[in-house]
Amino acid sequence: MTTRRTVLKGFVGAAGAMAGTRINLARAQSGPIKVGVMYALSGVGAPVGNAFWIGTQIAAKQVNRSGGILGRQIELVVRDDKYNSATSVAAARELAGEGINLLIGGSQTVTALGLAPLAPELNAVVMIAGAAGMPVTHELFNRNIFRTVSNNYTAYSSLGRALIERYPQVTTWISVAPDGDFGRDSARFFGDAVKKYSVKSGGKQATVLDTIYAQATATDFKTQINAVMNTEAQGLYLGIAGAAQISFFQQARSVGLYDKIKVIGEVGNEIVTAKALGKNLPKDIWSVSYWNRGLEPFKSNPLSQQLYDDYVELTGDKSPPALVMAGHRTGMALFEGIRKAKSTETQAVIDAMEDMKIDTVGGPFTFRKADHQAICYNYFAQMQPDDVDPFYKVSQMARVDSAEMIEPATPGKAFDPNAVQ
Amino acid sequence: MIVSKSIFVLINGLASGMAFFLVAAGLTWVFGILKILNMAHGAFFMIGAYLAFSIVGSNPESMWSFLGAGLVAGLVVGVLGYLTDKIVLTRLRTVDYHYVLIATFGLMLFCEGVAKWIWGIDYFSVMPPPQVDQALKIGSSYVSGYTLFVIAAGLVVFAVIDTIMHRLWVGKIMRAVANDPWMAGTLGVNVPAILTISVIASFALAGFAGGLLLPNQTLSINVGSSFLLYSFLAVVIGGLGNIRGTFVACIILGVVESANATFMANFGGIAVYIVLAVFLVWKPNGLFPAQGST
Amino acid sequence: MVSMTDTQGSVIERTPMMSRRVVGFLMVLVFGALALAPDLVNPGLLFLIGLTLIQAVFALSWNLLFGYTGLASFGHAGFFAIGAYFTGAMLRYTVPIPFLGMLVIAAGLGALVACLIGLVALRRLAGIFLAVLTVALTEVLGRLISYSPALGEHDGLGNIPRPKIGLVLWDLDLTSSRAYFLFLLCACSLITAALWWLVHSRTGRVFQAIRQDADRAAFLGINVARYRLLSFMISGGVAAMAGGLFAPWTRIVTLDEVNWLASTQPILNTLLGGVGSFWGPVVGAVAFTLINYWTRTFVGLSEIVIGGTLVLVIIAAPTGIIGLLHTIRNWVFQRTAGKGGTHERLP
Repeated sequence: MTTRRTVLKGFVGAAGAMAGTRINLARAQSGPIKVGVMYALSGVGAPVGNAFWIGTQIAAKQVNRSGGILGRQIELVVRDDKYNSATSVAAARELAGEGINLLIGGSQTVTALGLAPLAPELNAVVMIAGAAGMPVTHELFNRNIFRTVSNNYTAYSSLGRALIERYPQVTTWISVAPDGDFGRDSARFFGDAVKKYSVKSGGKQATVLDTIYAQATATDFKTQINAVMNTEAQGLYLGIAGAAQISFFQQARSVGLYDKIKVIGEVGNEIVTAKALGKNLPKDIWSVSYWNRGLEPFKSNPLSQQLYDDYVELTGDKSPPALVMAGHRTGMALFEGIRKAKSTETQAVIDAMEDMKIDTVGGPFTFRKADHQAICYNYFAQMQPDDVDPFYKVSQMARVDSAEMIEPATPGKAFDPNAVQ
Repeated sequence: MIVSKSIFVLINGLASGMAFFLVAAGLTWVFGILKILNMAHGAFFMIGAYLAFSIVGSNPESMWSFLGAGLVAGLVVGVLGYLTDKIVLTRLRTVDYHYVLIATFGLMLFCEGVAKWIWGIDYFSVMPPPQVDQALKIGSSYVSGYTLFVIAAGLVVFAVIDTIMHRLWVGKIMRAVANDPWMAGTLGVNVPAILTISVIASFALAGFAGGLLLPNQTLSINVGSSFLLYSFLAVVIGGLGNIRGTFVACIILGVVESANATFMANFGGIAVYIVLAVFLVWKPNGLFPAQGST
Repeated sequence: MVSMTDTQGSVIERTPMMSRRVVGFLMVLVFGALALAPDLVNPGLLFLIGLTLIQAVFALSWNLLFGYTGLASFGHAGFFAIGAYFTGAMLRYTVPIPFLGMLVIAAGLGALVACLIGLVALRRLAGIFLAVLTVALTEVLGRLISYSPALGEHDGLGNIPRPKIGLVLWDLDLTSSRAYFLFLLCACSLITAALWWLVHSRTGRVFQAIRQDADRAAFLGINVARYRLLSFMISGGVAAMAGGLFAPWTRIVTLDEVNWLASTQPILNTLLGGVGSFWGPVVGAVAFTLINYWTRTFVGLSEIVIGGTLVLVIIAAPTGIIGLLHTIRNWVFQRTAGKGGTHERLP
């Protein structure tokens, strides 16, 4: 309880301080380098947005501690996008109007879709930190936007592959996913990968049953759970996120789904779910993740230890959500771009980031030149219930390289799932 | 296949319906007597849920601690109801109901903001007490003991309220006030006291429901909103503040929603609104219209 | 001072704060200042001013229904969304209709839907039932949009291009924020002027007669159902047109514009500004934007501030900001005629 409140206080304090120091008109070549940050800091997107925001703040602190870039400090100017595209657009325009041409945002797909087409008009660099929706680097592509996270196709194909390679004995799989583009696609990518890699790793092709759909923000999943219980499935991909996912598990547990399903792959709630469920977590669940400081390959990486120390110092909390790393990585990518460009001019930073390779907490990181899609390792955390506080543990991290799982670049054109079979 | 699915639809629908009813009971009570639709009802349900969680934790040790936490939550929220009535609602007794609607909407936002400040934005989960934490199988339907507990709780709460309203003198006075406050007043009924008691009872019910329904879904700041909308629909379909009408309406909504999710999964969440529209046009005064209305 | 009493005995002040000449002068001044805004203010602020103009028109459309005809729609975002998604989709998929034509069709669609709902419902429904029906229908609309891939499902309809208007003599390119803002300003001003004219016309007076006492109005030979339907249709049409102007301004339309929180926005704006005045919704929209703008960096406090403001307004200043100004003026000038600060009272 205390830690959470401390987080909140520290965070509000930081925002307040930011408001106080916000003076209009960035002076062109002197003073701090201003970077606009727009995350969902209130509403249903807040748990995600907060984690990103903490990570980005740490990135700025680390750079400033080591003397800044081009002899200048980084100053973050934060805005709450309220998980709403219109608010996000308003924030981006306001920040651009203050002369800030370096923007970070899009902690969720809804806000990214609003920001992406705006970037050229504002002549700004826009880092999309968390949106996995395919259009960002396909039909909405323009040279001003950079996505620092794996897209839907790469992330969920990788999850499917990671699971089937580790659980070849699980031969029947099913997905429960939210209705809509994202849910449908992620379930499909997961299922396709399960089929493909079950054969590649030398076994019989796994059976993937028809996806069961639910509403993304429902509170009652008993119907979908009953449907799963009446199939032969032993492996499950769950595309439902946020609070709804925890409701799903509460209801699934109470009818015995934990005994039936051997392994679950989950869309990315990670320790948000683990913290909420504690010892009532499913016995074997794998989450889309970014970071865990206690496990390899992070344990031996000094960047990871540094991120953790700074996290504890900033928030007072001792169990960071993995998304902090994604926010950190996004900040670092932009700052390194500026360093390499030796300039904060939009075009120079874009050119620099297109040919840049940096080391992040999660390993080497580059942007694909054609569509500015991040190429990095995709991590998956295996979580299990535990007997001692906090009553869950992350047992191991699996990793799959984006370079092996990425779709062909088609900037400007919609992604065609049939073309990647 | 159809038969087994239908059995599931009925059980699950009944459970959803009773969950809606636990929330709607307090709402319809105040609606019937004060003629106001309390938009903040879901927020006080949420506060009750957080209170009960703070008392009982994630894994209730017994049925008694679970029920006890719900009762304490109900009492505390009842006190909040008293304060709300004194500070806000009594000042609005005589104004157009649209203003009350907006005031309670403001109250809802305010409560959500305060709850976020106290409990933070993390999600929590609570498991059912061990006595009802079993998986059951009825035909091909997988049902939890807790689901049956919710059905039972809904029936008990209905029976208690219905007895109060239709058998006891308190209820008769309340119905008199609901029908004609002026006449009731001239006959010596302390109308303001009855109104305040109704608000307190309604809030207490919201808080108690928050405690009882904790194991049903994630505990978050938005926990009340999903129930609130269905409760509104039930109150309107049921007829002006009629507890029996609301009860039947909740069961209808629950079963329709469940059938929708089972048989038309691709268009989830639409059927209840169609049912609502049909009822509004067919029976604009509700299933059990209040006496005197046409 | 004119005060009116309706069936429920509610008293609504319709005393103008200022003479019409002063209001007219003020309007010209505001219009002039806004026309200069693109050159004076930060583009972010300009964007918010544009949103406020749209919200003001949206709130005016709601108040036509509520303040002037006595019907409360709690699903007005549905009409707004019809317009927004319509023009958004037309522009996104480059359907060759001139933009002004799109706006007119959007308004027509809104009016048509209002007409259909009204034919079924208005005769029998009023009060809370109409409120809940409109909420429910808006919710259905939102669900239907969330199931249509062409409208972007849950992600919203993004990447909407701004239009070019082909006029007879020259083409007007509204791609830049500046150009579209000026267009928006003219459009919103025209709509507002049209609504002002409407409520001060004979029809407007009939609306008010119905609002005050539907039975008595019917007795006087007014076809109450028809006028209610007319008011509902105009209100829905104007709301849809506001939505139509919104889509190219934000360049993305999402389900956030369809939910019931969106429906409460015009209600809040109207009550905050004051139901009893034509300009109330406009004042309310401006005030709401200011509150939001000042609290935008108080992360996590917005619910408390907005919720608290609403409760306070209802308890302390039920006639809204305009009513409050009125009371203050009366107090300052010792004109204690003042019912300016009271509620609409039941007997």
